[in-house]
Amino acid sequence: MIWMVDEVETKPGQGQAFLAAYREHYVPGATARGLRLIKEMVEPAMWLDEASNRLLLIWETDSAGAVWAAKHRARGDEAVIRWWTEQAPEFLISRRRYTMAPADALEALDNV
Amino acid sequence: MYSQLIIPTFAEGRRDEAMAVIAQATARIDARSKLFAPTLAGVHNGGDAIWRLTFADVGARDAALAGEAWAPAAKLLADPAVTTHQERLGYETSRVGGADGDCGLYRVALFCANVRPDPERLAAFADQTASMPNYIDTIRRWQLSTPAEAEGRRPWTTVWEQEYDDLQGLKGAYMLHPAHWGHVERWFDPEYPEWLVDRTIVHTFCEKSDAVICL
Repeated sequence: MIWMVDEVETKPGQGQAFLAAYREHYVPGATARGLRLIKEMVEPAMWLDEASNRLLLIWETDSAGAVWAAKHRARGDEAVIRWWTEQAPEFLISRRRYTMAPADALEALDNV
Repeated sequence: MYSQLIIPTFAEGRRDEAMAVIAQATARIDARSKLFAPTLAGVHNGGDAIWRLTFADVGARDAALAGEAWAPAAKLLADPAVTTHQERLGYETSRVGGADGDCGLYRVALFCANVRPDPERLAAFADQTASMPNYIDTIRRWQLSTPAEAEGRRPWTTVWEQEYDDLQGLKGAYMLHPAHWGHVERWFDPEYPEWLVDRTIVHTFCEKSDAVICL
């Protein structure tokens, strides 16, 4: 199992709007690339009007091969570039993306 | 040491002639290491062949490529009716590593780091790339270089070379190790804030017998 995690800090009052835009403009394409959105986590546990929300959006995939497959499909998709470089920044102060694996799987992943 | 890399693509019907002329000319050049071989199936923007020679210094490279021995090859490479495209790079040896010994595959990737490049990001990218052989044990020798001269599909900023025992070392451990897809690859991925490298890259490889990268 491999997880790809988007961590974002939204502009004040933009948390809910960001999530709606993410679901509309990003989630369908990523799902079609073979990823599964398994968690949409919001902190604090309410939409703030005058402050930032922090969101963790967790995608799951089965293997390194599936990660590569998703990457290759995204690489040639101008809609993905447009989302991250033009659309998402309208809502965000900052973002990070992580590629993570279960701790107990590291030895197996290293043994290739 | 100074290396010259040429990755040519030949016109339909002129490939065999070009390969023969270049092979003959290459054999007459004195260099620290020589590679000229057809690329294998599966390359990306990888040309028909890889020509790579290492000289003592840039002066020796200049003298060799201006000499009589190389003239027939230079003529073919300069003729667009024969050579329809080529990547051409010259670079000093800087970061290099690995061990002596024979291995059968050479691979080179060309990158253009042009997405918000700044010294800190470029340095971090180079450090992470150069760390890959610490984790991926199928990389037998490697060299990471910043070209002094570069032309082709992009104004290349990075030459990333490796030698493997065989193609499986490249397609297997190199591609499937998390040091690649889970770490360094973020610099190539528009989905990561770290995205640095133009989406057009060269990824090409060929079989070889002698050591290519001079340690």
